[in-house]
Amino acid sequence: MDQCGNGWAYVVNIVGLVVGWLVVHRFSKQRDLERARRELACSEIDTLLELVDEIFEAAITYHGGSTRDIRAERSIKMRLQDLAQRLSALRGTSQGAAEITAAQRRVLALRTAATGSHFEDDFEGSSTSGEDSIASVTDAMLALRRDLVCLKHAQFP
Amino acid sequence: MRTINVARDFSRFPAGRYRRNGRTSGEAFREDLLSAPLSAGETIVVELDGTIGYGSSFLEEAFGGLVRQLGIQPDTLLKRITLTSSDPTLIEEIKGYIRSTEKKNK
Repeated sequence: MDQCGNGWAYVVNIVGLVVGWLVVHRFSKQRDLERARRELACSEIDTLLELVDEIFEAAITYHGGSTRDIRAERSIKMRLQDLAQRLSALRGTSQGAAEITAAQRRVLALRTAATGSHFEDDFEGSSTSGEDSIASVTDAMLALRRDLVCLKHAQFP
Repeated sequence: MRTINVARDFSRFPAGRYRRNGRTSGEAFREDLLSAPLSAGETIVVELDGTIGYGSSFLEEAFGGLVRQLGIQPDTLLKRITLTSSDPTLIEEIKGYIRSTEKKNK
């Protein structure tokens, strides 16, 4: 009888160990996946921030320039498109849907500021409208940077 | 329903507002590809992917200009144009130009 009781106790211990291991393994796996997702999202947001800086530099150089630069125009448009598509793709991995939506509105504002007025036309020299464009691009860039930082913070709820 | 792919049917490098800014301007795109089917009452699909990117001046002239040129209500125009793009902000921007043109006309 004692032998039978010991056998059951042994089985219960083993089952307890296995179930415990499975639970710990599952939570550990979830934690690792969450960490990897967060690292991926943060790395991508850092890339977006660098892209915003590049667009800003290119846009103020273009709008402060004295002649039309078609190569610069194409570069600005390509980078803006890259920025918008990368941000859109973040919805698959990133937390903070509201922050992404807010940042997308800022991207639209940055594109409007950088490529709206006085863009791809044959302007002659720096002008008031060029200075206005630089001011608009700066405002849009700062607002977008702020929203991207908020999005990064949203990865750590 | 007619489908217009900007990259295939017009240019991979759409640029500028007016024809004087280049052959691939918003004015040229509107007059050469958009106006005729819309004037004939057709519904069109505009596929925006495949280009190197868009400037706001091109988009405003191409799509906002439709309201000015054809004299139709923005809501009517939006029902007859379907826009597709992997960038949702682009569609939002174009719709904004179409709607804001109404405000300018009022």
